[in-house]
Amino acid sequence: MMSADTALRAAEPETAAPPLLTIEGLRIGFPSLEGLVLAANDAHLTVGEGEVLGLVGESGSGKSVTCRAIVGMVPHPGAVLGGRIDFAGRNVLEFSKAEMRELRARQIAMIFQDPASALNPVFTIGHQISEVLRLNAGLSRAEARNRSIELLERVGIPAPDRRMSAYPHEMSGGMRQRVMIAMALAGEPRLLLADEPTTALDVTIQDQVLRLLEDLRRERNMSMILVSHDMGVIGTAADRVAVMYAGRIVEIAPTDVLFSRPDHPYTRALIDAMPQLTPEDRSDLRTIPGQPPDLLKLPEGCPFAPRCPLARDECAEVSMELTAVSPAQSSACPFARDGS
Amino acid sequence: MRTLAWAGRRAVGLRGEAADLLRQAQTERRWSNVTLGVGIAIVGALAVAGFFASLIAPADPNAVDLTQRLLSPSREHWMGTDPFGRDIFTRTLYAIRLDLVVVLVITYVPMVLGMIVGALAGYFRGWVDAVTIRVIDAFIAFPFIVLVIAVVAILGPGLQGVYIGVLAVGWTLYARLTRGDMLVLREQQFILAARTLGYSPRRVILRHAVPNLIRSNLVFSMADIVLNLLLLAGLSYLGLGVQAPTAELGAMVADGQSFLLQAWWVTTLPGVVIVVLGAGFSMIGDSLADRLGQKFGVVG
Repeated sequence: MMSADTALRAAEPETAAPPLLTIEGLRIGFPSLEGLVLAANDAHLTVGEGEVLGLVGESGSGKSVTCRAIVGMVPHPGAVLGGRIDFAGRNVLEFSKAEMRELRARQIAMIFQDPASALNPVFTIGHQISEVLRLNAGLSRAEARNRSIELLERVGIPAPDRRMSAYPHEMSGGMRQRVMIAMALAGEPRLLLADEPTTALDVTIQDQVLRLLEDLRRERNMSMILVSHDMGVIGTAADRVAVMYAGRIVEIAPTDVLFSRPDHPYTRALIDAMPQLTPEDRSDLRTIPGQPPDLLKLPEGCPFAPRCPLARDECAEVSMELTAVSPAQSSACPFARDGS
Repeated sequence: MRTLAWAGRRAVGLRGEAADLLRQAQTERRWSNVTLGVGIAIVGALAVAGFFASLIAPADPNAVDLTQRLLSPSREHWMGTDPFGRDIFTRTLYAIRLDLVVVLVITYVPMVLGMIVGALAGYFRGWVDAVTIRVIDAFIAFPFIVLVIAVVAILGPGLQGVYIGVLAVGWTLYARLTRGDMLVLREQQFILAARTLGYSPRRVILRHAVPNLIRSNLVFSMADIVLNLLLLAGLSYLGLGVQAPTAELGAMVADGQSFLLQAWWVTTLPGVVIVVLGAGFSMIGDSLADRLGQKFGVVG
């Protein structure tokens, strides 16, 4: 069998590099008593080689589920209903269980939100990192130990050789998140899925962890999807941003474009809602009016219409397809540029 | 100034309360230590006596001597003799050994089996879980002892029936406990993380999940040991467990019951041993539950 790696190189032309990850028309459904809930509804996005894609949206917009679908781990009882997820030229939705495990072991790694439960409480961190190296990189026990110490040192754990025998509960949240990152990097992944990696940390530690992720990504030319609901985090760390609302990608654009010329009204509302701490602007925090949508009772057409300042009757007939606003920016709202 | 004085009084009051709480916690801790110590001492002493029965015992446990029937406790026969003239002290020692071994087997074999079944059901969910939980519910719907007696009745009386009967029924409690823990555990991020690292389900379950499940099962097993001790004695008392002439505590209680008024010791003394042994296990179980239950917040 051809390994995913060689398959990739064969599929990769020398000139214009295709994106490492392409998601097309992804639909993920969760059965519920009142009907089917679509956590991802016709979602499209791409992640280039070495690129950081920020995925923003409020709680329940489908960010995490989309990430988990990439490694075939949609939480029970959800399921992928349609679409494609092409990683390095192959549709991972068609992978066998063995291929999927191979993909997780060597190509795609994931880090999670809550460092309190991200490490197994009954094993030392040395044991847990060494296990990844022995199983996924085929190192011997002694090699794995040395490599683990290197990795811990790389992610900024002080006195890594002594920390090897520490249990997770002996470490702080930030330290545990660093260990988690070390474990994720042990398999030399090409794509890192970071599901709200800094949400549970306090602000100074958040910044350190983001910097660490950025450094590591540069060193390894790794791609990354950074899921967050924090526009500040996205603004500092992402190259491009995809904005998700009610299971749909409503806008996708390079970070600087998105912040300077947001197109979709939802994106604008998110950026307006960011707190400004300047002497001139002492206004109250701005919020988005209305409630996050009930995924069971979505309106026809644009799901954001009930909360949208630009809403009009035609919103019920909008196809929600992403159309190019400028070469790098696409948006799902056809009316955003009408008034201006 | 007045507020300051008031705040000062509050602080002193708090200090007093805090000191009380601390003292209370220390007392509880000390009692837990005492309980554990006493429990281990009781079970340990009886276990040592039982396992060295052949060295300690003054007589042969099955030597019948009809001239020595129903003798009351004396320097020669510490616990007296039974209706067949056998030395009760000797028989008690052998019975302790037998009971301990059987009870450990009928507690921990079902525990291991139940843990495996429960872990698989909780991890894979879907139809595996649905089938398992129905089977467990069906077993649990009957009184435990009735099911065990039914199995023993089918297989015929004897230790073999007890082993199979308890194994057939006992695993369900551990399976249910483990399944519940596993349902919580499988959503813990370290289990998700293990899966995203491409580990096989076998590895995730056995190496990553099961070590987190053992704790609650061990705590439960300590209570189960006591119940199984009583179950074994009960079945033997009813003539369904260990068969004559083998010495077993419950069977010995049964041996003496028709002579209760003439020779109280034949029934009473082995009965007291059952109680003491059960109490010893209970003490160990209670203090272990205190310790193991609170160590980690994750499960159990």
